[in-house]
Amino acid sequence: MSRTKSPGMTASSVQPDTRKNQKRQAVLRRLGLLAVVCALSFLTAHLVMLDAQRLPFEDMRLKTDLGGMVIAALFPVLVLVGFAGRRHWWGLILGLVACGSAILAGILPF
Amino acid sequence: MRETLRVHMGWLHSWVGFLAGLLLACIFASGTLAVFDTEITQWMQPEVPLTQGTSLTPAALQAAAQAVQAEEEKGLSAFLTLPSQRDPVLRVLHYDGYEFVGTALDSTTGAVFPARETAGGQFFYNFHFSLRGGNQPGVQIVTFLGLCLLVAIGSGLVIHIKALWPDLILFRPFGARPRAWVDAHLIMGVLFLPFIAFMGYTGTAIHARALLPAESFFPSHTATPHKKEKTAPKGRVLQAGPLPPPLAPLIAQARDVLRSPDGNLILFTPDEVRIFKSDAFGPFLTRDHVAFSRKDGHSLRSVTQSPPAVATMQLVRGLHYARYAPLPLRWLYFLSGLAATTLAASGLVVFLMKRRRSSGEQFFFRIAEALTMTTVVGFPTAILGIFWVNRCLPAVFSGRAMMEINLFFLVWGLCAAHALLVSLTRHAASGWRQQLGVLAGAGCGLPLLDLVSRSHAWAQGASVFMTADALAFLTGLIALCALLKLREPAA
Repeated sequence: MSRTKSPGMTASSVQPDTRKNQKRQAVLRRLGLLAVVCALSFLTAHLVMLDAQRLPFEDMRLKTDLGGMVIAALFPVLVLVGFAGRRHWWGLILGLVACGSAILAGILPF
Repeated sequence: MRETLRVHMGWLHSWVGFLAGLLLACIFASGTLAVFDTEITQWMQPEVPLTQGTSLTPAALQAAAQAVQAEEEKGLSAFLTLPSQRDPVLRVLHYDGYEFVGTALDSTTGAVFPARETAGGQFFYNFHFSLRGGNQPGVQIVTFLGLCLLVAIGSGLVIHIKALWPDLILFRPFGARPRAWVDAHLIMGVLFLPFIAFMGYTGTAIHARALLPAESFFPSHTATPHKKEKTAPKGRVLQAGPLPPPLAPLIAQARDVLRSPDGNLILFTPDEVRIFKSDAFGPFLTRDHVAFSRKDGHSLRSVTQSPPAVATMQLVRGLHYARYAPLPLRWLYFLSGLAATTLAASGLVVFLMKRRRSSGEQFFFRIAEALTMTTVVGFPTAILGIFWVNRCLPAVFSGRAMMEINLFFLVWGLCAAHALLVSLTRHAASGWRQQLGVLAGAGCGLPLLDLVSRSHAWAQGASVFMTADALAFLTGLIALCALLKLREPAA
């Protein structure tokens, strides 16, 4: 990623600008994707914590503890998968499926 | 550049790692010190002798019970920790909103040791999980950083999965500077990966409820408002109870039931006296206890069995808190914590080295360098500062615990201001050298200060004092080596 100047660059000053723009666009795309993935993962984690309240235990603290154990494992995986799976947006789709499952688990009686 | 998975994950690892790493390094360092929190408190209270046994007399217990009641009359919820092999002192403690503080009693006579007020090792424990910012936002920030750590570990694994074995054995400390730092980062990351991942996971899981409470972010209009019971804030009592019955027979009975011969914790409510099993007996951080009536001392109930789900959480907590760990295992936790700190610190340095040329040392790069300097050198300097303050402030100074903590943050703040100043004026290299010089002086000078202060007899608990002084000296030596290395022209 070094920006070493080559002697031939004076011939056209458009090329470095284009490269700079491309780089900026790539960073913006990554940031956007990361923000969406994080928001989705946080929503899923929040829903998982709410779902944990339906566990058949009397102790409220135990329910949140178990919810916390699931969240601590699930959140990083969702972020990594969502960020890594760019081809056909399969990472985001997987995140949406996880979020949808958490919503369904909260709605459906069990 | 082709957007491969490795490049994509490298970007995530670099930025999440750097931004979170600035505070994670401090959290790792304070957690490492918290492994020896009791010993640090002992170093900071040299007036408390460490040569007593774990035996207790009824007179000492009676004095402790009276002290508890006196604290309750002040509105404080006090409790007792009984002497153990690790801390052979009877302590009457209460929660001050951040730490457990209180007095130490002679376990034979019940006399109060005239020990200096100190933040002690409890400060590092509190800083580790809350940055001393309370439940909100302190614990929330640390939990969020824990999630960032897990993301950084995952992305780091994706980047290096093909080279895990070479990374494990390859270390070139005398190679070119960037290579040596990358090697240090990789070797720590790979060798201590299980420990760091486990601690990151358990720490985040334990406090996840602080970040994501079990209440809906989207309140329903049909839900009835929750009726709150009138309860005292944490560490406070609404009313003082009667003087507890003689504690010696209750302790004997409880120890029989709990099979916990020393180091028990005794909590008091207006109606009950609860004697808990010591945390030192096994990796499960149980809350097994026997409850007695506070009026006449008759046994009310005993809790000694936990269902599997509860036991799982107890194990998670127990392994993270390491209160069960005997001394050799405690040292292993300490060394692993040091490795995690080194991992985070070297990651910050590698991040800067990679971008120094390409960024042209613009404004944001200089801010990043100042923040890194504040974390890597400023934080250990502030830690040593708290040890210096402990010995330099008069022992009878009132409110000195709070003053120690304020001075810790003052030293850290001064380091940050200095780092910003030198970085923004493009003198970062000399800034690193100056701060390393201060750190070297503070570390190497601490044993001398401890010796000159004559605050304790070296025969009593010498191992605690000598070890703490030796570690401080070692920190100073490492800083001195780094300083000398920085003076050499880069390879």
